[in-house]
Formats: sequence, structure tokens, C-alpha cells
Amino acid sequence: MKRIAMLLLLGFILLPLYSFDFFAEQASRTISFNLESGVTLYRDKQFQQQADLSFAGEYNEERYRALAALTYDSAQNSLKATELSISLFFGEQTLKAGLFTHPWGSATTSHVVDVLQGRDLRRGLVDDLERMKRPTYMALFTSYGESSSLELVLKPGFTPSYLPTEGRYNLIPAGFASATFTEMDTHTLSSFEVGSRYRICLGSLDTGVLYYNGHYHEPGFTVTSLAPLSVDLTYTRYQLFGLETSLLMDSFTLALEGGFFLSEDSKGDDSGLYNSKIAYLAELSYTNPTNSAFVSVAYQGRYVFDFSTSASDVDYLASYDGKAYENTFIFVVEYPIMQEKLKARGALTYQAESEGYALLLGLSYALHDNLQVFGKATIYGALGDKSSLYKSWDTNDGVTIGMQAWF
Amino acid sequence: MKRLLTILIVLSLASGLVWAEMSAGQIMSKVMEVQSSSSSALDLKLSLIEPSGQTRERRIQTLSQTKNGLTSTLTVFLSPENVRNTRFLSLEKEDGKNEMWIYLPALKRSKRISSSEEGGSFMGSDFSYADMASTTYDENQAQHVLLEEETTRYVIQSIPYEKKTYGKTVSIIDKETFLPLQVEFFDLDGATLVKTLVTEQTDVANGKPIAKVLTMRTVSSGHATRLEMLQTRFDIPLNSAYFTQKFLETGRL
Repeated sequence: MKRIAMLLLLGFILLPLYSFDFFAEQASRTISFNLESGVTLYRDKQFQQQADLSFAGEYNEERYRALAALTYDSAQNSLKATELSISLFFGEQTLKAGLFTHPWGSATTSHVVDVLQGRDLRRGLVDDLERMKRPTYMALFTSYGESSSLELVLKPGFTPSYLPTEGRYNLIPAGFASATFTEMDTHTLSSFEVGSRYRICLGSLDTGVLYYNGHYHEPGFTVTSLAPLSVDLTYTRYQLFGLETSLLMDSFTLALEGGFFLSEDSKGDDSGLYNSKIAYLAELSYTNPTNSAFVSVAYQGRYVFDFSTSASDVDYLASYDGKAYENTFIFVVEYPIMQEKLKARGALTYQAESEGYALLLGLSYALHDNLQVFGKATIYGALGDKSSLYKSWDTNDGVTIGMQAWF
Repeated sequence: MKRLLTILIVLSLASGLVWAEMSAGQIMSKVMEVQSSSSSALDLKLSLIEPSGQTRERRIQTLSQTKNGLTSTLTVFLSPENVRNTRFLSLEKEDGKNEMWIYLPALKRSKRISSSEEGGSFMGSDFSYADMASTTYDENQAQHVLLEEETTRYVIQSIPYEKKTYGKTVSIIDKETFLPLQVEFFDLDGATLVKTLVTEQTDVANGKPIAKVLTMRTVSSGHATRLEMLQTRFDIPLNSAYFTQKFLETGRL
């Protein structure tokens, strides 16, 4: 209650409104709320009610912007910041610092070089990549040219992926269920991360090269005691040499992403650290020019060097069906009808090695400009008996209905 | 006094002769000229009207600048809340094609749009992206035929040389202001009426006649979009930095 009162109080303080307004002559403040409420019925006949209140306050002056975005999760009774940032604008340069997410990569439906932030899997897979990201503290400097831009990123520490250790989306293997985990402190100077990206537009081709010195967001581990089982979580440092590009061909767009991740365990002899790997993605998407319907087919793969089949090696534990390689296919469709009042969405991911799949379906209908009702269905599973994340989440198949309002 | 009267009559007749001799192409060229400006800033309200009468509203601002005959346009969506700060940039290139990008704040990404999407719906409205740029064709873009001339207006048929979105348009042009009072848009077959645009209210801004309120109606669905110009500024100094990737991605000069 206190948190809600604080949100409302912040809201009233920040009234009245506005951000970009060419005709306005003064600095502006914007405040907005997003309320999403729904109920999910799972295949195991349990249901979960959810109500999220998101608040965003934005203050704009000529040379800077301050943005605070918070979300109150009623089910978890938690208030979390999704963005707390200040941006400075000077000439062709911008400097943004604080807690936020920043996307890298040229594709639409999946990425292999979008490495600046980890994932939040507490709600499983959702049909919005941005909502699955975990914001992180960083400073981002961008310098714009006529048809190019250069970004420099500095993170004094890093924020790993949020991997649920309990509940419906628990990711801890059964053998580690009773283990005591000790988290590594990732917010120290020794955990710094730096990177840069250069993008340029060449006719119908947008391309970029990137470098990143950071950590795999999923933890490796070292067993410190067997009885009782005690594990230290560690994070593997790597250097990424990557490429992102997209080519517009009339209504089709071909996007390519790829990168070589050079691990600190370059020889691959430390079972607690992840090895070097290459990751690649190709996506062909089509946008119908008359009704904006969108269809995309993507292939994503990776190959881990010096792969070990030892059951205690983190690369083996993180692999699909014990293979050094991974081949995943993604199909996405979005179809707006009735002057975009009704939108149907569907996404299918199929992981070839584990034969696991996830199907996300959604239908939303705008009752009003700022109000929509929606229905979603999520189905996880596997065609065979091989174990995978998709198979272990099989009981999390569910149907959600709800409403969303912006004000 | 007699002389003055004679001069006025002669001038008046001469002027009438000039208009009478204008070809359909010249009239459409004049229509484009009247509506063109070196730069403009428009504050617009889009009302999406269902056949049932239910209405949804969108508020946008459009900045436009023409340099060396090439037009750059930036559109910023102010409301509703779920699309606020969506920005759309269109840059006309020397080969006549437009390079277009859209910045989606929810994705924090800018995305290039194909010029073939010019015929697609602009923000769920009955206007296409191409309609937002212009609803008439210039003299050299189409074959124009004067179908009818009345006391106060011309009726002109235009068949575009490059049929992208429409196969034919029929425009009713006001003789005094050269504003299109009504435009009928036909499908690529040139026979099926697709949409009708009606100018409901005109005004004068900075000495320039403008269509202040327009309604576009789609024949097949009965859906209509009313576009109202809330504020307008023409031929104003505009910073070129508005029409850059930087502004598209940051919303800042």
C-alpha cells in the first residue's frame, strides 16, 4: 500500500504532461501509467492472478532528459525499477547513464549479439523480448555521424540473468535441489564490462561491427563441498567480436547477426567456466505493405569449442541433448485487422537437438485508445523424450486473459 | 475613371483567359505549388471513426523541410499513450525514392521501412503513408485530363505514370484557392473506387490557403479518418538535425 501511495504521490508531483512538442516553448514533464491485470490458468489446474502497475516519469529540458520507470508486481509484492536514467545531449553526442536496457542486434525476433543485459525468466518465455531483459547499470556514449553512429559502453559491474531457483519456472537441476549456492559479487570494479558498436547505413544495407568484453549472463559453478552440497556460482568473462546487418529488399528484410565469443577459458579445460563459442542468426521477415502484417522466419545456431561431454562441465549442462552445437528455428507472425484494433500474434520456437518447442499465441483487442483486452496461450513441450528447458516447463502450459490500460 | 475601369475590365478578362487556358497538368501543378512550402510544422489530430460512429483519436506533429527539391519529413506521435514518442522519418532521395525509418520506443529500436509500404495504413488510419505526403499528383507524375470545368471548380482525372497505390484519382479543385475539395482514389484497375477524401474546412495560415479539416473514407469498410490541423507554421527556419538518425533515436537535436 505504501508503495502504491508513493507511486501516486510521484505521479501528482510530476504532473502536468508532455515530452516532444514542437509548438511548446518550455521544458516538459511526462507521466504515464500502465496497468496490466490478468489471470492465468495452467495445465495443472492451478491458476495465478497477476496485476502489474508500471509508472514512468520523464522530465525533458533542452540538454538533458531524466527518466524513471518502475513496476509494482502485486503477485510478488515487489517494486522494481525498469529504468532510472539521465541522458545528456551535446551536439552530435549523447551520454546516457543509469539503470536501463539497450538493444544490440539487427534482427527482430531473436538475437545473438544483444549482450548488454541478462534475461529475466521468472515468467518463462513471453512474447516481448524487451520484457524478458533485466536492466543493468551502465554508461552509454553515442556519437552520431551523417549516416553512422559509434557507441561506447561502460559498466562498472554487471547484472547477471535472473534465473528462478524456485516456483513454476525453477531452473535448478534436480541434482542441485538441496545445494547451497554462493553468489559471486558482480558489482565490483573487477567485474567491469566495456564495449563498442559502430553502425553505418549504406543504401539499403544497415550494418554494424561490435566488440564487447563482458561476462556470460548465466552462471558457471565450482563445487566447494559435496556433503552437504555447496556450490560457488561464477561468471565467465569473454570477448565478443560481432557483426550485425540488415538488408531491406522491398517488403522483405534479411537480418544477419553473428559473433565469436572468446572465453577466458580459451582452452576449455575448466569445467566450471564456459568455453569459447560462435553464435549466428539469420532472419528473413516480410511486412505486408497494405495491412502491415508481419511474418518472420529465423534460424539461430551456435557451436561450442573444445566441448566436453563430462556431466559436470557447465557447457555440457547448458547444452541441448549433450551436443556442442545448437540449431533453433523461430517462426513469428503478427496480423493486425480492423484498423489495427484487433491483433493476432503467434511465435513458435523449435530447438532441433532437444526436439523441444515453445508456442506463444496472443490476441488483443483495443476497446478504446488506451484500453485493450487480451488473451494469450503458452505451450511448452518436446516431440521426444529428451530433456530440455521446454520439456521441464511442460506443466507450465497456460492460458491467460486480461486487460491493459495506459493513462 | 473611364480609363481605370477599362483597364480593370481588360485585366479581369485577361486573367480569366489565363485560367481558362490552363491545362489540367498546369492546374495540378498549381495545386501542388499552393500546398508546398520550403518547410512546415503541423500539429494534427487524427480521428479514426468506425462505421458505428465510435471514435479513437491520435495526436501527431509533422515537421517537413524541402532542400534542393528533396523533401524530408519527420512525424512524432504524441498520443495515445501506448504509441507516444513513436517517430517516423522519411528522406526523399535523388532517384525519387524515399528512405523511411520508424523508431519504436517499446523496442528501443529504429527500423527501416520499405518504400512499398507507402501504400500501407498510416497508424491504423484510412490515410496511407503516401497520402500523408500528398493526395494529388504533380504535372509530371501523372497524365491529367480536365473532365469538367464549372464556375468555381475543376474536375480533373489523374492517371499516375507509376502505379504504386492507386490506378487513378479524380480531384475536384477549387478555382480560387487551388485546394483539392474532394479526391476519389481508384484501385490499380482504375475502375474500383477505394477511398474518398473530402475537405470539410479550409483556412488561411500565414497568407496560405490550407485544408484545415479533411476526412478520408474507405468505401469497402465504411471506416473514416478525420484529420484536423490544430496548429500550422509554414516557411519557418527548421533545424536540419530534426531529419537525422540521431533525432529519430533520441528525440533530441
